[in-house]
Amino acid sequence: MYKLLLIFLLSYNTLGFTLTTSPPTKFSANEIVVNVSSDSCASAGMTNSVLLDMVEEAAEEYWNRVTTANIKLVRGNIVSTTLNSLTSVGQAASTTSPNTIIVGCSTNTTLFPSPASDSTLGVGGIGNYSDGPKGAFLVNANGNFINQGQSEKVAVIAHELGHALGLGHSSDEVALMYYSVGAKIQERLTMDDKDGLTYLYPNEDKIPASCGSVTYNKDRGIFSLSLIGLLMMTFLSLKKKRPSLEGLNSY
Amino acid sequence: MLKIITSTLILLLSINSYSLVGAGGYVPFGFSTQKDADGSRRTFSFEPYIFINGVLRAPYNHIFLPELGYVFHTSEKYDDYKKSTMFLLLDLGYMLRPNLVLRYGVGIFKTSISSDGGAVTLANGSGTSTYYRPNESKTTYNTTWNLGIEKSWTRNYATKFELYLFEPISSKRDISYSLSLAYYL
Ligand SMILES: [Zn+2]
Repeated sequence: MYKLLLIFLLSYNTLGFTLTTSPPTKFSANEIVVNVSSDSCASAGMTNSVLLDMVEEAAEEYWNRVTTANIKLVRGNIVSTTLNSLTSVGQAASTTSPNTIIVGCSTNTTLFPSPASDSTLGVGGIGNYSDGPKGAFLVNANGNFINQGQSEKVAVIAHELGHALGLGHSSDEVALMYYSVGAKIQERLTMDDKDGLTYLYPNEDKIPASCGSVTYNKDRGIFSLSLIGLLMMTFLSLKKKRPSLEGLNSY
Repeated sequence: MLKIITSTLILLLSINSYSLVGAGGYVPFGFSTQKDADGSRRTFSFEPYIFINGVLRAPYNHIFLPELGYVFHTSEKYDDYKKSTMFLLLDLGYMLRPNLVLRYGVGIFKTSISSDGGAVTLANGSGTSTYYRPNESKTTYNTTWNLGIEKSWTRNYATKFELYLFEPISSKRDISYSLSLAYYL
């Protein structure tokens, strides 16, 4: 009871995204390839290539649409590796290369015990390893994933991808990163989810991607800005007389 | 960014000919962001914003309309973190009619997200887990293409609707929009 009260007090008055660690664990690249392991997904009711398709759909429908964030998930391949004997998401992450995410189906009963009573659909996470940050998530192939509708499955995968990107749970019930899918219809990210991803992966270039995917150095940025200044000055100098409201209206 | 904003502000205020101040509502990414558990979007979730807008004569029946704005993110309860948006628009205005201006141009949006850190215990499957709130301020920049229409009703008042296409040539492009009332100083 005391523990429950403590939990209530700690989570009271908070509404917003969280991070899995402090300081945050995050990727150090802007394009993150997501691969699928060769473990059988039969008991989750799909093939590996269907899982890979759903991973791509989850990335495109959710995380890759955040215009304020500078990160993109990229569809990878089915890779010949097995995650089924691993008992934590951290162990799964350690098997992949830096700045990639590995996804697989697991029937490991240490990781996903008591299938009848466990409502866990999957686990996801990110870790820092000696060679760099790596992400993973495992679908609970012992549990209820198989019984979810198509769009719920994609939302669950998107939620786990959120963990693999470094986000924790949100206290915002509508957010994709809320711990429970419940009865809600999750078609898009909420602003809270978008702000979380933006916080982790901001666009720090002041003159960013709309000039192409070229990386600008600082000098170039300043040069572009002085061009804008020059443009403004040109317009200023073109002003022959001080415009008045009447002058403007009849112009 | 601060430098650009300060110099723009000085420029706008030093144009003693005239400028506009205004206030209204700004909807960030209204079509692409979910608001409620039924899947509905934030289409009409206007966030209050204020702006100052210079008006300078330009050739070919145009006016130059540099604008500086600030958005207060209040329509969602960000109890746990702070968020603010500042933007600079470099729009040209084409006088369709004496009281109707078509605006188009480019913009820079600067969004900051910050919080003061701390651990949070939240539900996680059948148990609970500890997660962390952000403890820094992070700033993200976006460029936009803008398209808007401004109609003046009297000598002093005008209404303005403007669309902002974020990251126009990226696959992440998205739309924000604003509706506002402007007052001619
Ligand atoms: Zn989760």
